[in-house]
Amino acid sequence: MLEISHLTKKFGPDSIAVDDVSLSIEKGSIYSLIGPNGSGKTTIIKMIAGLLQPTSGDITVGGTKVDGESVEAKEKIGFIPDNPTVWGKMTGREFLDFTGALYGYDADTRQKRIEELLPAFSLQGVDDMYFEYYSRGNRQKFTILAALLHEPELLLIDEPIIGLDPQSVRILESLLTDYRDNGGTVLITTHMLGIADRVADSAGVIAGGELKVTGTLPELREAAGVPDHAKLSTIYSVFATSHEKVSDEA
Amino acid sequence: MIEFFLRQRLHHVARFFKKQEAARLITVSLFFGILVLIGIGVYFSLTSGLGAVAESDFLRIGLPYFVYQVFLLTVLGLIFVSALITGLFMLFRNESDAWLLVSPAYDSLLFDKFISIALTSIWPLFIFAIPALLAMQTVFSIGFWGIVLGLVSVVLLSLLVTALAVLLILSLSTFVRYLGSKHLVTDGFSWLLGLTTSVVLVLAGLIWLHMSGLDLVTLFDVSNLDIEQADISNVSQYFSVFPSHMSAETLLAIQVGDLQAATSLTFLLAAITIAAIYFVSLFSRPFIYIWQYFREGTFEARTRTNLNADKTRKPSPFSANPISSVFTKERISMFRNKRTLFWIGFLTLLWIIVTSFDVFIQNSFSSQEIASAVMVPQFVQSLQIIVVGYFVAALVLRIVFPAFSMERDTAWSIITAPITLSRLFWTKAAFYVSTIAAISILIALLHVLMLSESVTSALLFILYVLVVSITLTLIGLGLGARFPNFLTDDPEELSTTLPGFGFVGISLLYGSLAAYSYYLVFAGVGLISLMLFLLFSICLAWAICSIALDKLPHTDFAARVES
Repeated sequence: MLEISHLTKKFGPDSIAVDDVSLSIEKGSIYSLIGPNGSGKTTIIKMIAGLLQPTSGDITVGGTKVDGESVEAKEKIGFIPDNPTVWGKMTGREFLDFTGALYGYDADTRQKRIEELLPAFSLQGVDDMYFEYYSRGNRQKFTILAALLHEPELLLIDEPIIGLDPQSVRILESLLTDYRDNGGTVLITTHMLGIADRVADSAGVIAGGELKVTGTLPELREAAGVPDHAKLSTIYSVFATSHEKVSDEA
Repeated sequence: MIEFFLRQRLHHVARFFKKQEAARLITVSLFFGILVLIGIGVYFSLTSGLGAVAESDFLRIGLPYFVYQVFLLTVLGLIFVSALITGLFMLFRNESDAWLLVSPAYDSLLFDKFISIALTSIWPLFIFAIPALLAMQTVFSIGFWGIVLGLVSVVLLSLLVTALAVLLILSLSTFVRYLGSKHLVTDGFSWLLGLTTSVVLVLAGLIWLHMSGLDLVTLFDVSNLDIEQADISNVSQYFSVFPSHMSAETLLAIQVGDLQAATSLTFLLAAITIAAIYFVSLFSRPFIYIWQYFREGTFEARTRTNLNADKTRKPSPFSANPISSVFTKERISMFRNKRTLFWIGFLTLLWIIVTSFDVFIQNSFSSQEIASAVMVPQFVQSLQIIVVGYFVAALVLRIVFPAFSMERDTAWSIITAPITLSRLFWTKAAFYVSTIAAISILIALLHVLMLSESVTSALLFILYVLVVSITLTLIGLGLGARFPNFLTDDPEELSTTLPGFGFVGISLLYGSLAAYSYYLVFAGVGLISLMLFLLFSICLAWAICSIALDKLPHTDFAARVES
């Protein structure tokens, strides 16, 4: 579903945020890209979403190449940012309505989808508030619903659980696994390993802009030389501090 | 704490110069270069104007004195309203103030805000005041101390006006908080904005009533052939009601070499300014309670049974078309943003006031023999085209130029959606062109009605206004898209970047060209002048939009990239 090939991003000549990253994510799976702060996770996900332009390399979503003008690729993607900022003077409902309109949904379909989605996080009753009055958690919930509204094929999630209460985290995990079971593909970038451990089918560890290792969880455990029941945090601690790159997929 | 704030500001400037690479130093140099060029323009205009006046025994004292009064009153008005708008939002809508207000040094916040408001509001004064004083030195030989005294006087006036604006905000906000505590008002901030606007409108109305009878001929008693020098007592009496009067008196004293009087007046102004700042400082401790009140939300929780939302909900404002949806989003974002609306209202009001000056010109010269060939309405309208260029540029700089940069943290929502960047650009262009053109046409109609011109002349004028407003809007949007700045979403800060100043420069040149072209239509060149101007406008707008559209697909739409 998602193919990334030799992706590099430089911010100025001396600052390499992402260094020759290649990875592939199967349709109907959840992939977790984990790494410490400043490792390049957000840069990668923003390049896939079209917010940042790669210095070199290719990104393909469902067979369609991603670039600044790729409407076809964008139709397949739902994006949930790490910073859930929306125009302060727009209500939550208007934001969902606007998002649906951007994807070409007619008013009746949008209304129907919004009524279906709002109960997921029990947001009925606050949907007519301006965004500037929402807590961070509620903002995050609305951006999650906006990404799901147009039923994308690939869901990109940057730090998904910041600001969410434990119950909402469980709801999100349930939404993601349902989405995966219905054929959707998810890329999560996070440094909070709990959610990655619980929902991810495969993962990659990134540090200093380099993808150190990528593969299914059993493959990663084997590459890290840790027991079969080891958590992702154990795998992470092996690779995130390593200066070596594991060649090809683990 | 106050010392810490002042030191921090100095460190901020020092750090900028210490750490910046060559490219940014060049940017800063160019920025100051443009300011110096504007200053040189002011200097030479005033030198030639005052020089011509200085040769006339009759006007040597009176006319410069009148110019000082009008100039300082205009500056006073601009600083007052600018400080009000900046102050309202800086005092109550800054997201990063909480950290200081929860600390033991919470009472120093108001002073820091006052410094920020003053710096934001008065810096343009230096571009005009310093070259104006240098021009006075050239023409009237006022000497070094004269320049120093003049500068001190106008800076004090700026601080006084800023303090008065902040005092007005604090007084009104205290009043609104009191009403709120009695449950007489909800949404206190809207009430504060409404009350402040009402006070400004009442003041503007009073000034208008006072100034509408202004007649230069009567003011200088021109008809009286017995006097050798224009009488300034009428002018002095006329302007004595304004706070700017004392500074104008100081400048006159400097001009005639009476430094003792100038010094006394400056000390008196300093005392009044210190008193005003002292009154502001009285709010230092109570400010936290006012701030808390205006940070409260206005949302009221409801039960689900109360909603009946599906039955009573308004129809969606968005269509299924992404382009018209973005257009609607722009409309909602702009017309619900009180700060933007305030700036539009402020600039439009100023524009109308300047346009109304046409009435003054007609009053002053229509019945006099001094109305020469150049004072025909077409000449006045040519000048009005420059005014149109200036105000459209001001509106575009504040609202349109930052349109792409201000998306910053919200860009993800649109950029990741299936709409091409070129369509996004043209949708924004359609929205801003229609908004700016609508304001321009309304004011152009007002102007035409005031001058009671022929239908042909009126239509031509409106056509020029339309072309100027469309072209400048497209240039502003294009430059803003070509040079986006995602480091800040503060439109005032964005307007003062180098591309912003570049836009100002282009706008001034383009506005002058438009005025000259308009004048040529009546000076015998005819419609060829219009056609050439239209062609030039289309080419200029097209070139800048093309450059922006080439750049957009390669733009990184992200303020921060951390992990």
